Order: sequence, then C-alpha cells, then structure tokens
Amino acid sequence: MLKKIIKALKNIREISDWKVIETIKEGHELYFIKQELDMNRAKKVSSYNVTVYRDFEEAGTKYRGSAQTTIHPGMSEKEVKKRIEESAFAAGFVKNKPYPIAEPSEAKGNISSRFQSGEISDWIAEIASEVFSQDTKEEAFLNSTEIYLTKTKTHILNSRGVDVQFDAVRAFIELVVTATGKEEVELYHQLRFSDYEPDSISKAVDEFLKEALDRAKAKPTPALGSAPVILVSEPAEDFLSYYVDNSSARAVYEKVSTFKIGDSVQGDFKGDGITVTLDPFMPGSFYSAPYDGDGFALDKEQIIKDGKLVKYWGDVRYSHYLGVEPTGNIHNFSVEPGRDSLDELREGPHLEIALFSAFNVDSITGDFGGEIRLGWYFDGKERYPITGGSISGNINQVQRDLLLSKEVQKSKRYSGPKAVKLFNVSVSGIK
Amino acid sequence: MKIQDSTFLIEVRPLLKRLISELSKDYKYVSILGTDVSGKSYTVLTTGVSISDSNWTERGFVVRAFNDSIYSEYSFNELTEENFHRVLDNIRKETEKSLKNCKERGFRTGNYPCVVEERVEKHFNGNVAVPLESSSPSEIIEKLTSIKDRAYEYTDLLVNFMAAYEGVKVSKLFLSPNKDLMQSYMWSQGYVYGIVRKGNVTRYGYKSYSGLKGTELIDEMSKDVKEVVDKAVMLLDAVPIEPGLYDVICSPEVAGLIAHEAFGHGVEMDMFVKNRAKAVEYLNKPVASKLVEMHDGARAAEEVSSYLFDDEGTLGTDTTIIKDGVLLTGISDLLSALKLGTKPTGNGKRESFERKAYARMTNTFFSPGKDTLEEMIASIEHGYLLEDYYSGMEDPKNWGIQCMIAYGWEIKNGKFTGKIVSPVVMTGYVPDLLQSISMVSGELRLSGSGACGKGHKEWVKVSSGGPYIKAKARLG
Repeated sequence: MLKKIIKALKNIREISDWKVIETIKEGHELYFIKQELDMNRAKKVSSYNVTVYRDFEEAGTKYRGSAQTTIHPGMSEKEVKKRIEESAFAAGFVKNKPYPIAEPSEAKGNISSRFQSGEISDWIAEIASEVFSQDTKEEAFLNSTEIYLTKTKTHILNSRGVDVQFDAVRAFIELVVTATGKEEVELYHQLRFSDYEPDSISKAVDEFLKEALDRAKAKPTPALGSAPVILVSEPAEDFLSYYVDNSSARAVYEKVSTFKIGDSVQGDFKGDGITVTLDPFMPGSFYSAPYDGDGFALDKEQIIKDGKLVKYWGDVRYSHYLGVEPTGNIHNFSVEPGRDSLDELREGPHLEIALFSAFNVDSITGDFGGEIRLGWYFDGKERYPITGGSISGNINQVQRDLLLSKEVQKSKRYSGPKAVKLFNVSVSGIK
Repeated sequence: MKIQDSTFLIEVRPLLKRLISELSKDYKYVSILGTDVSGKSYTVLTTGVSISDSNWTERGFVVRAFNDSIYSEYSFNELTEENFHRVLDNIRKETEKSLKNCKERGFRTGNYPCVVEERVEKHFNGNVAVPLESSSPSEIIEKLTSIKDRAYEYTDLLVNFMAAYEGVKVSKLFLSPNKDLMQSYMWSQGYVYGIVRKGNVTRYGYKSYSGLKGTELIDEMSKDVKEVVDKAVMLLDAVPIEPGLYDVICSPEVAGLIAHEAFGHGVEMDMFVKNRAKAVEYLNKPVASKLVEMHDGARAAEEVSSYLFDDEGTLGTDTTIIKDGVLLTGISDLLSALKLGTKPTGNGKRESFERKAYARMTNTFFSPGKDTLEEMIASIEHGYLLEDYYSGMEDPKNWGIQCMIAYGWEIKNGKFTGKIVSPVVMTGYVPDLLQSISMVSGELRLSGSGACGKGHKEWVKVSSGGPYIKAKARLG
C-alpha cells in the first residue's frame, strides 16, 4: 500500500511536499466483571494518514496549503489516486503562511520495553494475574476491569527524505473499585504505561482499594467557603500541565497563550518557582516516542526554569512561525520537586483532594475545578475522608503562593511533585 | 438528497457472508458489523486554516462469535479474496490465545446464553439538503472565513476566532445468520468560537450546531456571530460565584447535560450487570418530581444519534426512562439484555469497529412541560439562569453529578441583576436534583455536537436536550 500511495503522491504535479504515517496495530483486550472474564477481543488493523502540502501564490502573497486524508488498506490504486487528488485540490484553498516540513534527523534516544519480547497475548494474561493478585479483601474489591495491550508500529515518511520507524507496546487498564460501608461506593481509575515493572500494578491496585475504603467512610465535604487545598496524585499533574500547554509555540502563535520567553509564567510569585522539562524518552511512559508525528527526532528539553519560560516547545511549523528552533511535539513532562515534605504541606487546616469526578483545568482561562470524589479534611486537630461538593478557582489567582511537595510521583506521562498546595481556593461544601 | 450506500460495503458483502458461513462451523453464533464512515473537517481560525478527514473516519469490520460461554470479538480492516483464509485463521487463533491463557491462569469465564435472533432484513437511507460532496472545499472555506471575518466587526478585544464545520457520512452493514441490515445517513456539526482578552483576563464564548444535516448547517452558523462575540466579551466581567445551594433555571442545553449525566449514564444497563447502577434499586419508584418525563432512543428524536440499527444489529427504539417522575426502565445493549433476561433497546454502540460495544445513550432528553421561561424567572427570589456548558461527569453507583457550566445570570426578586458568574461547577445528588424540579417550560431543544465518553474513554456521538427547567442545585 505504501508504494501505491507514494506513487500517487509523486505523480500529482500540484503537490509540493507530502507526509505519510503508516500505523499497524495488533492488540488484545480482556474485560472482567469482578474476577470473571466477561469478554476477550483481539485486533489487527492498519491505516495510512496522508498529508499533502501545496505551495501557491495569490495577489503577490505566497501560501502553503495542506489537507490530510486517510487511506484504508485494500483500497485500489484508483481509489488512492482519487483521495490524494481531492486532497491536493482542497489544499489549494488553504491559505496558510508558508512553513517547512521536517528534514531527516537521527533518533537521539531509544524506547525499550519488556513487552517487546514475547507475545502480547501472553503479556496481557500476566498483567491480569498481577491486577487481581491484590484483590483479596472482602470489604473492597475490583468490580470492573478492562485491560488493553496494543503493539503499534509507526512508519513516517515525507518528501524531504524523512523515513523513520519505531515500535511501542502500550498498556491501558481501567479499574472500577467498589467498597462496602453504610452504602457501597466506587472509584474510577486508569493506568497507562509502556513497560512492565514487576509489582507496580499490584502496588497501584492496593492503593486504589485503600482509597475506596476511605470513600466508604467519607463524610460530606464541609462548607468551608474557601480553604487551602492540596491536590495530590493525578490532579497535581493536571494542574501543572497548564504551564506545559501554555508554553507551546502553537498556543502562543494562536494567541491562546500570553507566555513570553524570559518572563515569569507564575507572575510575581512568592511560593515555589516551577522547573519543567519535556522528556520524550521517559521510561515506561505511555506517550514516549523517539520522533513526533512529523518524523522530527525528539530530545529532552527544559522549557521552564524557576518559574521563567526559557523555551517554547512545538513542531516544525509553529516553531518556524515564531522564529524559534523546533523541539518537536513531546508529550511527557517532568517537574522538579519542591522544598517542603507532604507532612509540612499538611500543617494547618486544609482540604486534600486525590480524586475528582473529572478535574478540569482550562488552559485558556486558567479556570480549574471539579466535583470531589475523595479527599481528606484536616481541621487542625482531626483528619478524616470527605466526598461530594466541589472546588473552583483560577490559576492566575492562586499561582503566586503555590507550593510543591518534595515527594514525587510517576504516571502515564509525568514525573514530578506528588502534591501541589494552593491557598484561598473556593470550596462548595455540603455541611 | 438521499445518502448513498457505501460501495465498499456492498462489494465486500459476499465475502463477509462467506466468513460468517465458515465461522459458523465452529461457533454457535457469529455476526459481523462492517463500517465505512467518511467525512471532512474544516477549521478556519484567525491564524490559519485546516482541512482534514473527520476524526470519526473509519472503515473496517468486527466479528463477534459465541465462544461456548462468552462472546469473543476480532477487529480487522482488510478482507479480500486473497487474504480471506488468513483472516479466517486469525479470527480463530487470536480470539483463542488470550482466552486459553486466562483459563490456564485460573480465571473463570462468564456464562452467557447464545443469541437467538428473528429474521430481519432492513435498509435505511437518510436525507440531507446538501450532501458533503455537493459543496466544494473553496465554498465551505469561503463561508467559514466570512463568519470569522464578521466577528471582528463587533469588538477589538478578539484575539482569535474560529468557525469549524464537520460533515460525516455513516454507512454500516450488519450481518448474522438471521440479520441483513444496511444503513447510510449523514450528520454534521459546527462550532463558532471566539477568544477575547482584556489585560490578563482571557475568556471565550461559543455556540455549537448539529443535526442530521449536510453543509446547509453552515448557513445556520452564520446567524449567531454577534451573539458569540458578545457572550465572550460579557464573560470578561464575570465574577466567581459565592458557593451555595440556589434556585436555578437551566437552559435546554444545561437541562440536556443533566439528563445525560444524571440519568442517562445511570441507566445504561451494562452498569446493571456489573451492579454499578444505583438506579436498579429505584426501578418503578419515584426518582424525580412528577413533572419529569425523560426519553432516550435512536427513534426518539431526529438528531446525530438517530439510526435504524445499533452496532450489534438491534433496531433502534424510543425508551421512556422516566414518566411522571417514576423510573421505568434502562437502556440496553444486546449482551447486557441477554445476561439480565430483558429486551435490548438498540443502545449497543461502539466508538469504532476497533472497539467493544457498550450500552450507550443516543438522543436523551427531558420532555417539555407547560411553564414559560418568564414565569420561571419571576418565581426566583435569589438564583441563577445557567447557560452553556463545558463538560460533565457521571457517577452511576453513587448518583453524584458534575456539570461544568459556562456561566450564570444572577436573578434577584424575579429580575436579572446584570451580574454574571463564571465558571460554575454544579454538583449534587441526582434524586435530590431531579426531585427539586418545580417548573418545566414548553420548548424542546436538542444538540449533538461533541462526544460522550463512558468513564473517560469510548467516545460516541450522542445528542441531549430538553426544555428550560427550574430546580435547586449546589453551585461552586
């Protein structure tokens, strides 16, 4: 199929440049209700994502148009040609400022994974065994578990000579944990990773079971009005991702972000200054890759140091628009830990929140908030689990005093502080 | 104009029938869903233009086979005379591998009965005024560009503006020993969206559009440019809300979000099978005020999730979920119905042929009542009219609800004060919220832009809506 596509691309005069991404996926999926296998699925699929670029001039202004299309396996030569011709035609109406596409470059690191050896149908059963190894408690149990393991081969080619291939095996687990109490409660979790680390899944499951037990004992969130709030685990990552989103060349070019190189991204802050590094080779990350979607070789890049933006990150196109060196699109980020331990952050009355229904961080306005599924309230004397109600705020209002924990965590695409402490956050409690 | 069937699916049909016939030698029940979904997405921003295939594009097959006690599935997207036997072997081998491994590790397997089907042959072709292929890319881009350019006539505070259109043609074929179903229809969605900035405050306004329509939808989008810009500018002066319990009036869009999150997800019957739905305890019991009637179904309304049959070959229906405040039933996929001994309602939907089918919503809405919006506003001592939303999240087990509302207009002593609060997090216990509904207006508006996830994945097309409703809700 690749040959058919490239032949068609080369034979259409109007096409100035092109890019093809071939993706071949083989996967196995297991669906459990409690510890009983409810369904198994497998798949083998491939697809070809084609982008054509067309340079043209109108009234003395130069443009580069582009259009993307999907070619399905089994399409005839005639169908492939028609799709690409239609895209080339459409690209002639897309009046974008000219920009280059990626040039060939050598990979700057490797992605290794234990999943690469052996059959994924064996690995998925191994993962299932580990998931359920901790599911031995009567009062808290795994109610619904879905496990996906997918081997993906990616091949990116373009008209400038880029021709790179890389493989990844990605695991995704969805877990719904139920705990009994005055009434049954549940909590929802996801795990995403690309390497097998013995015991890491069972440790996570054990933690999830404990959290469900806490929710079963939880009291309604008190109506505090406003309070210091400690975001722990995933909400801490979600909060910090605001700074990554706003450091992107695309967000700046599109004026969604006002971040400027050399300026503080936290305003006139008094708390911890954040330091952020993008790492395409983060071990075990679901999103690690040696190249981005343009076939541009990726490397580790520090973008924010002590609260100051040192570099925009972005693909070839948007970096060119801003006149900066491209870093490529990198999806993992790490943040340097803070000075205070979690125990120190927990001093004084506060609300600590580990799980929301969905924690929303709006990277355009800075608004954040969500309904509390599980947290703990410390009134200065007693600490107890809470649930219900919500918090809300705006990052621009709270970033001045934010504090990061010394303790770190690692997740699907993040390594950094386990907790972020914010002050004067609005709390809509129940009692 | 009538939406034509996919030539690809018509041509591959004999091979699919052969595949069923071969697999039926090993399995008591075999079905195949074939999909050919194509579409285009056009986006015009102040800073650039893009044309791409719709993210909903897919073409492939999923085989479902009854494997003694459970159902196994295999997804693939290439089937020709040449690879026919290789595909056949893969289906047998790949579905057996993980099953065997799990059994060897001591996992029990589920205990499903075999599907029993009546003979059904049906065919459906939808209609739209202007199919996607009748509009040239230049025409679509010109219209979207004109929408974007007009926005700048209304304010100097705009930093970016977007007009986006997506048109999708859906063709699906479902085959099993007793079923032969084919459907082709088209839906469209559009967004008009503007970002404004004053000092260091950035806000945005939007309006979305959807329907079983073609590119005629773009003409609808061009009417509301000023409204979107005004909305964004107005939000620059919005203030945070004082947390508390308030009387609220929910717009039809927000009412739809409540119907979707509060009760739609809560009555998806695969949740009944997993004992994850509190709704089971309330079947045939009051769960809402007597003013509440709620429906879901592919045949309940004409919106983006209206179809002849679902992704498991069950014909679409109109399910009355709540009537006079009493919970009557849930919505079901085929396998959950087999397990529960109930009738499937045509709600078995997949994100694509690559994914599993779950019980999912289609078009979910509250039925209209007899009150007017003016009467509702006049009845409020201190509360808010809530409009537009960003997202929502369900909690079927514990009936919590989270709605991220874009903004609220303050009402005091039956009149708007001019104060706007934004954003607003609405939370609460579903029965409390639904029991508190005290007024329901006469109009009904549905919208189906965006997508619905189950938990945090499995995105499918749905619509939701309702009338204006007055209720009591916790805002923060």
